[in-house]
Amino acid sequence: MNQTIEILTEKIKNEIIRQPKRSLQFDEPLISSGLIDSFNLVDLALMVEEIFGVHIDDYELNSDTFDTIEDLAMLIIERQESGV
Amino acid sequence: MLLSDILILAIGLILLRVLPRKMQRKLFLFFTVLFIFKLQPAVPIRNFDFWFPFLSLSVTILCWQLCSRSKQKGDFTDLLVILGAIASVELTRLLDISNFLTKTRPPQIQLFLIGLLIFLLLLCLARFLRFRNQKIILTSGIVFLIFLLILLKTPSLTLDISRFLRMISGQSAENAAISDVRWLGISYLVFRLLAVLIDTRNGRKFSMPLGDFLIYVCFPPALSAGPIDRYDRFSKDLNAVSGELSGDFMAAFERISVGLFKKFILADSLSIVALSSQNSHLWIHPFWAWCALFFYGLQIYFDFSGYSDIAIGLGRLIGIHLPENFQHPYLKPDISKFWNNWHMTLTQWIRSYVFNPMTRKMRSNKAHPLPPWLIILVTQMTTMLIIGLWHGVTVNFLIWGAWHGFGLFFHQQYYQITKNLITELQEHKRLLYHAYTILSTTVTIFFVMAGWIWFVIPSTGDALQFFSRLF
Repeated sequence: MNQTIEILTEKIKNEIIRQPKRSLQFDEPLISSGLIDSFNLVDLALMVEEIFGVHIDDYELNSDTFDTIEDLAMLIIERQESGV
Repeated sequence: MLLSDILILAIGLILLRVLPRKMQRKLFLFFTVLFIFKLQPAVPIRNFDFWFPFLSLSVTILCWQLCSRSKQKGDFTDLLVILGAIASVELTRLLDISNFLTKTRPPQIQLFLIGLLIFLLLLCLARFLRFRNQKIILTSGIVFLIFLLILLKTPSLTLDISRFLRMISGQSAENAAISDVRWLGISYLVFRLLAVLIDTRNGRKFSMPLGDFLIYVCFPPALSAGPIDRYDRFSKDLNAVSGELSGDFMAAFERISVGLFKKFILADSLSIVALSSQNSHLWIHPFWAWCALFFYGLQIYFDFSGYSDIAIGLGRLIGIHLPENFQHPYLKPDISKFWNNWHMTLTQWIRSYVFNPMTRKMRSNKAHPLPPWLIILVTQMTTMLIIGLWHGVTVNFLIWGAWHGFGLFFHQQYYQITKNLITELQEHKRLLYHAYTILSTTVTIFFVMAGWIWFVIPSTGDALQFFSRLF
């Protein structure tokens, strides 16, 4: 879990929002706060699919499915374990 | 919805909530079907206050038949309950009570039986077809629903429909008007059905029982003005309804009261002084023109969010937690956040089925990568034009959509340039950040308000004339 959070934090800072110096907490809202916009959210889904092999459907890209890095890490681990 | 409808709906839902679970679902289904007829407004075309709800139910059941993998025995019983409820409405023809379940007397029994027979034949056909070339069948269903929406949203086509319906009803086509085709809730109903058809076409297993699906699509509190819930989320709530009302009752009462206050006190009062298509030429001075525009912006917000509050409150009475549709949209510091908080369920729907698939496809094209700014321009513009056209296929709704599409595109480009500076202010210079937020919120609200001109005034010439008076 911690390793997934670390990878996600680095990737989101460097490749999604492109603000490497920004402080980003694992429980900080990403979507509901507007930090990740709708365009970047699709990039995030593609990145998760590429690195973790976990697919997030188009209709799931909203803050009800995940809103923080911690939520996303849990979703990834859950889906990896269930093989979805 | 009239106040009397809201009251009857609230009492009906409370009674359903306290019923034993075994009876609850079937009666809920029966009640839902009756209420679709009850809520349908009067239509000048003979018997169409009966046929429009009948068609809504027919299209819903046919879509379910095409998508569903449900093998529950209860589905046939659900169909009988639905047909029983429709037949009960038809039989009110024999009672000499006006405005009971339909605004006018239901059609003659022979006509009703012909309509029912056509529906049953189509249902058999859908059942026969569902395992054959499912992708083609589902695509046809999607195309049909989009075509239906275009017919009902394009004024010239709607007028043709009115003429045609008047002709087959034996009425004069000369008196045809666009307002004749008042088909309650069809825009929302089509979007709910499209979501299921698209998901099934994309390979998602859909196994919701018929009765639950019909309650979801035609849920009376959300039928006329949303919110557009998702079927999987709605289904979870429906299966978890408990007979314990006390926890929900106060929250529901509070929400409905807020909604009634917004809709019937604030919105209706503001409508007296707000900009409208009739009074747009009266506002000459820029100050009063802006005032009328702001009053309209507030009126549409209180009206629409009031309806959503009432729907959410009524939903709570039966244990359904409908999603939020508005979260203080006018207090947001940028246009992107405004759209994340205005008519949220429609925006989310369009994102799920238009914006996200388009963006994903364009971003995944590694062989010929497109620049991000171009992808954003194309996808944002398409999304907003569709939202505009959903309100009506007219030039002004198209301009309104384009207004917001460009707004979102320019904001995205601006944010990319300034984000490091804004983050710096947010983290280290809180006072300056607050001042910046107040300024950006003000700019956003003026931008949104100016956009309403295209929404409220149907004539492009009148809208341009009013726009020029603002400065």
